[in-house]
Amino acid sequence: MNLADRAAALVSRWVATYTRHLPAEVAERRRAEVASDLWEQRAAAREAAAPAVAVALSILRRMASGMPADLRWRQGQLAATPARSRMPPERRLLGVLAGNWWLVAAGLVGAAEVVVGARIALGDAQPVVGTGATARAGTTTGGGVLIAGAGLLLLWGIVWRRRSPGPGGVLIAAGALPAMLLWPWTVALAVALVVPLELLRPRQPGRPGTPAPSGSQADLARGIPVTALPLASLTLIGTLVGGLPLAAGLLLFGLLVAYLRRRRDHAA
Amino acid sequence: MLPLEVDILEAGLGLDRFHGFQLAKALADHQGPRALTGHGTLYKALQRLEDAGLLASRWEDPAVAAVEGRPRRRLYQVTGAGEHTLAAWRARQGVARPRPRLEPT
Repeated sequence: MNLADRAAALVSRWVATYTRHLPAEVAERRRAEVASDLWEQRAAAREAAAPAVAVALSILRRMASGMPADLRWRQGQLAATPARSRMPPERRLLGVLAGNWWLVAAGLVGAAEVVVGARIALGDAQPVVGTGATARAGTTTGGGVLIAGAGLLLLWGIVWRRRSPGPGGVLIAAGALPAMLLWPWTVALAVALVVPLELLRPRQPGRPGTPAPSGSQADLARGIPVTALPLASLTLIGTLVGGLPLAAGLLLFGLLVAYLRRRRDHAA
Repeated sequence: MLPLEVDILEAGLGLDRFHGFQLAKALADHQGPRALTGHGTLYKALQRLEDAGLLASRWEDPAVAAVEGRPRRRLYQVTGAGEHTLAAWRARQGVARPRPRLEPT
């Protein structure tokens, strides 16, 4: 590899740097175009028997003189591209899941209701997980149908929410009721997780109807996990001895999250 | 239009297709012993002209590049709108600028 090749490699690295996180098509076009340019320049230099040092200097000078335009071009591309489409596909999927995590959780709850309800309705007498109750054939068929129906209602609410968020949300809440009755701790857990995350979710500046959380809202959001999570863990574990360490751990975790969020807010 | 944009249109006018380095070399030769235009400056201007509809571009056939053992070229062409815009610019300036000549590749 001579000096001209090394200079070309440096330019390629620079192009790879300033095209990062741009839409794949835009980035690939620029990389391929500059790669072609670099090849053509070196081929022309070989043909003219130009010294490698002169070619390398020319390539580096072209890179340096074009840097301000490169950066302005990048800014323009970023401004013209929605943030989500700049992500690689796998990160975009994670982003969608992270933004709709509670819908994913609701979908799992709905599916669990359908399965448990169907098993009860079909007379498959099994202890219902986490409730200590046993479903008895013949006497709980109606209840099983009701639970399975609620699960379907919840799943339909998730689908419907895309078209009508309000009614869809009501269907989800109504469909989740049996799960809350079967596993009461999920109520506390849902409140503990959903409320603070929704209240502390970063708002888009200038977007109507999305004010930053007030001080009291933030306190409420921090207070709920501090109280509800230990309660939920105690209910879940069922014993004071087993629940206390978990409760203490959750309490410390809640305090740590609140502290880190406060630091981030101050830094912002 | 910026001077570089005018130079690009003048260089590309009347040609079938041209690629980036070919253009950079033509611009440098046209303006005397002058260094080649920076990559960022050149390709940003080309994209600006393309976005404005004054240039059209496409990738060349990969088979052609493969036969010649080099990367694919992005081939540009001055559009009718580009030609009209350049003619209008020349009329406003009242001068006939000599065109940069592109060497065949």
